[in-house]
Amino acid sequence: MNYFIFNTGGDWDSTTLYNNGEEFMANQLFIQLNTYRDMDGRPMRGGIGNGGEITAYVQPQDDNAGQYAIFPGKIDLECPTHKLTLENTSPMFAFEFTRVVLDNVDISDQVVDVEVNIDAINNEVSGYVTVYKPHFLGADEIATYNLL
Amino acid sequence: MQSNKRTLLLSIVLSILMIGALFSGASAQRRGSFGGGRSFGGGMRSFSGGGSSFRSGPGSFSGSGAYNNNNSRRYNSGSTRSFGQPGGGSSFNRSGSFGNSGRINSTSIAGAPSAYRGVSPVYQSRYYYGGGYYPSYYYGGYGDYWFHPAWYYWLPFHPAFYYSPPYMYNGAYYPGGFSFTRLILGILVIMFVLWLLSRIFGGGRGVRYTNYR
Repeated sequence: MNYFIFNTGGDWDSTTLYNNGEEFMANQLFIQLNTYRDMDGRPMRGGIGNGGEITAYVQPQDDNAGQYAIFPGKIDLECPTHKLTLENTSPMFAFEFTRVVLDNVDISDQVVDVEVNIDAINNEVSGYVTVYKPHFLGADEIATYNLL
Repeated sequence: MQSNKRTLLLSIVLSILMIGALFSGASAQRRGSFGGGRSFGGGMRSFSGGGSSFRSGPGSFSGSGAYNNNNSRRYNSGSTRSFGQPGGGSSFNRSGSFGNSGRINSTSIAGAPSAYRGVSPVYQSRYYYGGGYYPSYYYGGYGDYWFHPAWYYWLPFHPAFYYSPPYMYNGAYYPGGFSFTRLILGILVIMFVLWLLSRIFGGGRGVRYTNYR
């Protein structure tokens, strides 16, 4: 079972990736999680329970190696302003068993999208989490938290 | 034919007079036709004593027992119309009809529930409930409203909503007190209404997008 810990201080020099306590030399870390929308293509409440798709892998620095799957397993993304944890320990990697925790709050039933792309080859980094926040009064909110 | 018309007219006039007498009697009973206990020394006891000049009159005042009752309501009975002695002058050096009844000096009900003990009811009436009439006491609060319920008392926007219905105690009905259950219910209903309005008019059907660092 993988347990990745990604840590960054906001630049390449302070960015590290460990798997089960050992440094993992990688060219790219890519995570994309999208929950299903309603019939009009709009995000809806329900989070992981709505079903969806997830892609998560690490591209090692070894050119001959293929993409390394993160799940089944767990990954902590420790960014300067937020900490995100994604976990799916289901052997069959069933989407419904995915747990998403943002800043120690389980947002599995609220998450809409998660996207993290740390691409050292192309020198590109991006990361955000989108959460559906229903409100008792007023319009519901779709909040995007920028990780990087 | 002419006689029939006259009879009919007479019947109508008599009917009107009778109905008028009935209503005037009822209103006199309700309001206290003798100017209230105040003007007569604050109670009926003065009439119950022996040697009263009113005893000398024949008829209704000879039985003084009815006035021994401390219930001032009886004092307002229509029988006091015979107060004026036939042929005799007024003992009060006044003539003509009585003035305004004023307010009755009510006293607290001896058998009232603890919440109303020592408090004078502002009004007494009859309360129809379960096919019968019962004495009812009004104390001037919103609980009194439930003696004559209206549909809008059931709305939490009316203060009477927060009061319990009348309850029976010692054979009489008293207004209910403030109900915390209804308060909670009212808060819930108002919250629901606010929520509904916000969903309908506050853009609740859409979503707003926000961005956080």
